[in-house]
Amino acid sequence: MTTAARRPVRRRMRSTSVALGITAVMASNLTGCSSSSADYAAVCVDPETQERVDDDQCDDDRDYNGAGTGFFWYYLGARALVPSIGQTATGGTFRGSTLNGTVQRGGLPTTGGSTVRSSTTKGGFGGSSRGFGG
Amino acid sequence: MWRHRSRPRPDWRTTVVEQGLVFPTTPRPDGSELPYWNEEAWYELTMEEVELLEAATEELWEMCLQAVSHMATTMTDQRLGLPAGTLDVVRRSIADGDPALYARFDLAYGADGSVKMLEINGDTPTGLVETGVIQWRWMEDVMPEMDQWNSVHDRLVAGWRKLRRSGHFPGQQLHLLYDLGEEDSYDGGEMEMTVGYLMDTAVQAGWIALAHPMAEVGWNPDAREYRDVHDDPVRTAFKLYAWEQMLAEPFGRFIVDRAERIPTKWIEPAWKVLLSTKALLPVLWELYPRHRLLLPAYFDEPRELERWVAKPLHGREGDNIRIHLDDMLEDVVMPGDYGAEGFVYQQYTDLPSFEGNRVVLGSWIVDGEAAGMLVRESDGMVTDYFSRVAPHVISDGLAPTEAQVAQWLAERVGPDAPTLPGQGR
Repeated sequence: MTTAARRPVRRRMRSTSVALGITAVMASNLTGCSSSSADYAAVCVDPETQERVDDDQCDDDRDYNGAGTGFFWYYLGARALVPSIGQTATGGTFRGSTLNGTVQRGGLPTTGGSTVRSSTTKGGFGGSSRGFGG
Repeated sequence: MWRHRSRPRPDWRTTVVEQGLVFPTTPRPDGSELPYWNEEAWYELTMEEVELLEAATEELWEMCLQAVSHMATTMTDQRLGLPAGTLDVVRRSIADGDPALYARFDLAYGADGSVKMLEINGDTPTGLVETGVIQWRWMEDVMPEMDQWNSVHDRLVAGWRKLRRSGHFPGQQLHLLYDLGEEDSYDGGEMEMTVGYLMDTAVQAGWIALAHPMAEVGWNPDAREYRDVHDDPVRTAFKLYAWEQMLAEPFGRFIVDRAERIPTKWIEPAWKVLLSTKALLPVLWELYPRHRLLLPAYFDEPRELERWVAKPLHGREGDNIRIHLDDMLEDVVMPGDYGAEGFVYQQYTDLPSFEGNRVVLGSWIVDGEAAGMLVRESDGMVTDYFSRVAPHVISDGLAPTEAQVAQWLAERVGPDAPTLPGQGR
């Protein structure tokens, strides 16, 4: 094997430019739907079919009282699974006025899946801070 | 290599703080402060010296990758003082071909021209802001016609871009997690600024980034995944947080136990834990006996060494180091909380002294290639928390054209880039 020919001009070792300063704005780029931290959260439901629909179909503070047509808020407990839009909502109640605890109307992920209240826990990292570097 | 005295820029302190070095001085326990950034001096190197150091760095890097592979297949968690299951995680990381971003060697560059590896920080290196930004800007201000061994910034951006396009990571979102430290262990912003600078370089490479402390990371047992401060999944994460600590903590067990539905991709990857332990030093000496770039090193005892340094396996910043020079003299012993995990013994080598300043070179590897250096000076024998950093220039390096710079950035110094044996199987 041959070795590389001696370079005619010395290599330049330094960076071409060091442009900085756009750090602060980046945090806001990371958003997305997350579960609620409320004890109860409501999805919008057609009481005749129990099917979940878009939140904006429900614009009424009135509880469903077993009669009437339209769409009503349907309250799910903290550990209930959120149905996606089009799925049947079960295990909750239309009687929001009877609930004790924090209540959130709407804003749950439209794709469903997670529980109403996030079960994420913290504190499992960083318990024994030592200052890593070196 | 020469040390020159220099008049600091009149507003140097404000300048470097604005540029990201929010810790320009180091507080002493008694409340007084020592300079950390020291522009009362600068170091001069010739291009020939830099090329020697650069080649040594790349050779050492290749040796380290060989050692990782050797350690992963022949050693035990216990021998390495690592939490149970660590090597299993390491072997999975190697087999998955997890790529790495950067590392920093500490080198002793003797007056006789010898280069000796003191150690490597392959998992959580700091000193990037000082290297990539502060000394570069100093040169632009003070002697802009000179050159510097320092393509760290360009190579970080290129390295992040390569990672983003590698197909190894899902999406463009990157979390940067760091050890905030509390009270005594809070470091005056070093962790945040290191991560902040890395975030800048990552964003310039097209990542969408969010940084927050490691302690804010959550675990969701329903989705079986790590969650960030907004309760969003953490898919790809850079961590300035040591693997051996992570895996010893309650949440780290989810990695060991394979509890994740889709495992988070970590940078640096788990195999880097083997480039963070001082156990690497005796392993290298065994794999490459009498290698010109290495110092003799052994597990557990100094053996035939007469002058030696005992280093705790997971020690940092010089903590708990013991230096033995002479049976008639008392050993130098540094305080700290490390050592229970075991020690290695490395032959003592005198650091070159420039007007009483003992110098260790920090030599950077970015994306597997030598990328630049940082000079650290100490008054004592141990380069510790109270050491200073000073800028350097290459005195006989003439500025070439932009096209030449672009070409040099694209071409390798050595032959093929070394790879980690066993990766990608």
